[in-house]
Amino acid sequence: MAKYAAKMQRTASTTASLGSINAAASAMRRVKIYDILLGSEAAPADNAFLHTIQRCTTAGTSTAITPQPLDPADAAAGTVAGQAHSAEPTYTANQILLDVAVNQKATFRWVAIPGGELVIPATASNGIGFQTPVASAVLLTGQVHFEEQ
Amino acid sequence: MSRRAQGYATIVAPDAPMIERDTFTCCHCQRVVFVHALDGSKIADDDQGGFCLRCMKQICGPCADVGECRPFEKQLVEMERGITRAVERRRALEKIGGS
Repeated sequence: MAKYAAKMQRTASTTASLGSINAAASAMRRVKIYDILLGSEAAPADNAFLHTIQRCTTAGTSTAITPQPLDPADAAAGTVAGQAHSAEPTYTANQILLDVAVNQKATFRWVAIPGGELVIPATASNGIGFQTPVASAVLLTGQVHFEEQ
Repeated sequence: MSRRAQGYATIVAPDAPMIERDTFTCCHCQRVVFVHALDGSKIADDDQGGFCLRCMKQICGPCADVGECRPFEKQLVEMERGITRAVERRRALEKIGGS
């Protein structure tokens, strides 16, 4: 049950996702997301952001990220992580897991206790995507910690 | 603060005091719900939802409106079983020379 960290970054867009975490296409494992950190390192400005975290059934097209094991002794993650999507994941309607509105200057963090994590089923390419339906075109960073079962 | 919080959220901004809230994860759909503070302040207009008497866990507003017990663990197993059956069917067909 190794833990991994994935950093996602892009110029925020209202129509393109920040990133996604998806189960592998084969040899899938259940994934539990337990720590999410969202913020912008752009010059401080008063812009409104809405972060929406939603389930998806495909990974879309994105720049691959290599999740880093928190314990260097652990094997590489089988889970697929991507950032700066050019083709959106297929989001599942009415399965928004987290919605939070913040100012660009603010940093949002959510941490789950065991039993409260966001679970991705061990089903090929199913995952969770990070969107910004309200955003300004500034650099946005998301850090996700997850555990493979 | 909630005694049975399943998560914790913070919003840190330079121009305002840090906001901290407990959260719970709906046991039917896994939506993260922010628990409103006792002073009535909110960081999201979240319906505080309800409580499933079968799961004996908190559920979000939309799941409470559905009024049916559909534990997420059961949905996970069904999703995973569906894909497993499809793989097994394909392998069986390949064995007998089908497609």
